[in-house]
Amino acid sequence: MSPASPRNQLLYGTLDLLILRTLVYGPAHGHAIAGHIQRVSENALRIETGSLYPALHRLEARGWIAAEWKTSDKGKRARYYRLTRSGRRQLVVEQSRWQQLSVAVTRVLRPAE
Amino acid sequence: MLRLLYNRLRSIWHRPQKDAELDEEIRFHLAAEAEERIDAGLAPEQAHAEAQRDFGNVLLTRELTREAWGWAPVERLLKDIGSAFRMMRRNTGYTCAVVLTLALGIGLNAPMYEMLSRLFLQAPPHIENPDRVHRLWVSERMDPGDRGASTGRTWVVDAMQWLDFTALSADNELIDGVAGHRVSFRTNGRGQRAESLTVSWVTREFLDFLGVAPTVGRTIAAADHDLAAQPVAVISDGYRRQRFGSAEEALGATLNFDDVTYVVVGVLPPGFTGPRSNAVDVWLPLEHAATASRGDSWRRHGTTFYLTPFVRLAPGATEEAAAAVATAAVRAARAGSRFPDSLDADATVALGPILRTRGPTTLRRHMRLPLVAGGITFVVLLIAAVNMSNLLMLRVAARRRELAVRYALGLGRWGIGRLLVTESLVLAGLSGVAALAVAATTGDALRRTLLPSYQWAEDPLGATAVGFTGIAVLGVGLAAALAPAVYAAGSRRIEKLDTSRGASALGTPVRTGLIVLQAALSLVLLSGTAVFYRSFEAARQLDVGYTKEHLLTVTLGSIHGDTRLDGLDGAALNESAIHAVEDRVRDLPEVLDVAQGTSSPMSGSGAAYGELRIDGFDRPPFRDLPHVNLTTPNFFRVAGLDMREGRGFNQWDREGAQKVAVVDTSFAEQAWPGQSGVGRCLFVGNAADCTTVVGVVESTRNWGLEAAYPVYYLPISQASSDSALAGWRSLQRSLIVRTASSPGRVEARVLGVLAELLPELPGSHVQDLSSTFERRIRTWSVGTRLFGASAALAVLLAAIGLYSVIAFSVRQRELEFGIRRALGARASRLLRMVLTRGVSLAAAGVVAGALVALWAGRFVEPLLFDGRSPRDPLAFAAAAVVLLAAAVSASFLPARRAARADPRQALEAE
Repeated sequence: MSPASPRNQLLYGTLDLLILRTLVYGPAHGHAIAGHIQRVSENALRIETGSLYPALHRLEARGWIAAEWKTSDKGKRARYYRLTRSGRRQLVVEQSRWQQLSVAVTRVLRPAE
Repeated sequence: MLRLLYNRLRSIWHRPQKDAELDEEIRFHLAAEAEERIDAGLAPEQAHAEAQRDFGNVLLTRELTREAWGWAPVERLLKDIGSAFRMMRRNTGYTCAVVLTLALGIGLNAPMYEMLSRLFLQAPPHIENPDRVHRLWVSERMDPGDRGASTGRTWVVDAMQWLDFTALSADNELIDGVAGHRVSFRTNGRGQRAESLTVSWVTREFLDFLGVAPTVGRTIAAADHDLAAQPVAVISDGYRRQRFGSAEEALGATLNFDDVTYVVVGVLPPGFTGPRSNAVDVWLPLEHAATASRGDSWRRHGTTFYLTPFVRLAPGATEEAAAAVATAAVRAARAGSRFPDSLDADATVALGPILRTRGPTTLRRHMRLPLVAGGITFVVLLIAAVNMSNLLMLRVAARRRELAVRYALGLGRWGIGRLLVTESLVLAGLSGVAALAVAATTGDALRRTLLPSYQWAEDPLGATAVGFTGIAVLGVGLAAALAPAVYAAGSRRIEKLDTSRGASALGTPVRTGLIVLQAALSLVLLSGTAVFYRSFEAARQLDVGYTKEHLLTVTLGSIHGDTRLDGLDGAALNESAIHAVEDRVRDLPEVLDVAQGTSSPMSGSGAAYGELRIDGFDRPPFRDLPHVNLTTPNFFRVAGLDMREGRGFNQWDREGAQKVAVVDTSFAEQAWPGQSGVGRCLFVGNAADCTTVVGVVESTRNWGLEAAYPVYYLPISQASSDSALAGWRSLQRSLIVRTASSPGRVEARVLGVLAELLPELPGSHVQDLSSTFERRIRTWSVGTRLFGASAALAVLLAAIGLYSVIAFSVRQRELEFGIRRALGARASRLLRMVLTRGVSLAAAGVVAGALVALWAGRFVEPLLFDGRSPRDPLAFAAAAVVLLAAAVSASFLPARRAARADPRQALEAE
């Protein structure tokens, strides 16, 4: 029953970080968030909707982001997510964790001296 | 009903709204995606299609997102519970059987566990740091002064003579406090209205030592122990409720013990029993109570007054170190006392837990009974759980198509396992609720049956019992589901379920195992019943010497325990009062005769260790010192004791005549084995002249049922020349009354006479000897009933289990039986085939159960009458016969069905 996990998927937990980071610029709906990540990463990161919406709802359930219905610039009703106070704190935590990880990975990949 | 609850929960959580919102969110995403593509120049149709394709599986996304809401497990659980309830409604009979047996199993165990935990595990409530409070045990040799064959036996008791107790002190780093109490039954008030209360005499420090705070009023303060102060008492909350109602009314009320009036100054918290599990009604300062009861001498002698000592250890102190200090103090006190030679100089003191049952001595029989009863009810619970597991297993077999469909629909193995566990837990939960009702109604009766002498301070359905129920429900629910769930989920069988007829084999080994287990447990209980019944019968038919039917005993005076001589204050006056009572009772209708004795038959008290020397012996040749009974001449006739040799007493055996004695056969056989006792010479008390044995009477069982202590009888009229005997006679007196019919009515009339002539005597002293005897054999009668009822339940359950398994397999093999018939098998052969299957399952249970019972015998052995063996072949055989008979009857109906199998019908059904 469980979905086949795509091989090219993001490192576990990274999606949360990306979503939180994206929302720093202001409230956005799911489609816009996915689009933003894809654009900024210059198409390197493609967000699967099968991961995006569960992640958004999970973050909401944890209270890191909050949602409300607003009318989009195209005049349709859309569910907008914004960062909460505890979400901002979580972003700092996740960001520093990511930095530690990336430093560690870089060290491992450093050519032998 | 559950549907409703489910819907309500849904609406509470706004589930539909959330679902709609999620749909809208996804629609928006798709629309936005499509719009982007249209902006990029695609045709709207193609744009929408691509958006849809890129999005992937909408359903899956929706499912996964829902999971993120965190409700999915709850929803699954509700669904499973709903399915469990539907299953139960479809199988009402099955559900009732399981719930009923499990409710009984848990409901009997819960108060049982609570009781055992109070007796053996939990420290009594309201005691500060109870693990630092220790009960002291003294072990010393008895009678170092060489007075009989008992010399050299070591006694271990949680009682200490006053001399030793006062030597203990808290003036060291090991012991923070020393306190003691003495608990006894005392009468509050006088005459027929007097009430018997459990009273604890406490030392100055006692209540503070335990750290108990009163709910109303105050405790006994140090100043209250001053003999010049107004005597005060504190009472238990239970007694307050029973006697006074409100606490305000209790304060200032007065109680009267031994002619001293105590004012109630406080009420202790509910459930407080002091350092014991048996409830106490009243606490009194020791100084006042002991002086009132014993006069001033109790403290002077120091060796005749005993109390139960406790110490509170300092933090970090070890029991061994403190025991060494206490032992040294006791030995020093004994060496410095006035009679160092009569005290064992090597006595040792040991520290035990606060609970008496956890002390160093072996458990007494009446305390073992609850333990064995606990074992029995636990076996009943096991059987109920096995029964439930077995039935669940059958349900799996019967529902294999349903389960296979569920599996095919993607429920998964875990899902099926989860479903079965949920069903099992729901069943167990329902049973738990019913069990609480069972516990609430039977708990009290169970306690009173098992330990009638115990007063319980608290409800049987306490937090412990409820907690036990919860844990049992969880444990049984999981355990019962284990076999079926593992079976259904852990293998590939489910997949084949709906395809082949071979499915009849489903779970056979497991189900067979469960049936054998049930039969084995039943055999354990059955053989226990038989063993106990044999003990019960042996005890019931025991010849106690006395003709116990239609005999009343009236205790007029007794120095048993601390009871002072009620109504006897000066021998001369008393003799006339006693004679008046005797004459009046003799004249009552239906009274045949009345006799007097200083000891009451089978009272277990009131007998003296008489000073006795036997001509020709340096010291008495007895293992146990003989008891003396001073009687009127008609005593033997009224009591129904047969003379074995010589004569009894007569009216000429009086003061001034030749001194005579009668001994019992136990006395004669130990003193003069194989020879006549008549004509022998005894020296009673300090007398230098001979008391001649004129007769030998049959021996009696006065103190224990299992052994006859040697007894010698003297005429009560010859007692006054010896001061010790005269004193004895003035303290102790009983009447025995032989009645023409059942003594019930006479008992009331005797009480009437006593109320008139001896108004100070508490009414409880009149007893019917048959009921005294019944009480003596209650260990075995209770054991037999308890085992019997449990065994009946167990056999019934085993029979139902066996029936359902055999019936199921016969139904599955109907075609096979039909074909066998068609091929010429005789009906009787088929019948025998099925019966053999049922009986062989039971026989396997018999073998397994016998092994368990042989092992478990050690636990009941100390409880059996007169050292009987729990490994009684006859008992085992009887148990096996009952079980096999039950197996035959359980398999008979299915066997007949097999024998009547119609080949045509079976083939048509195919």
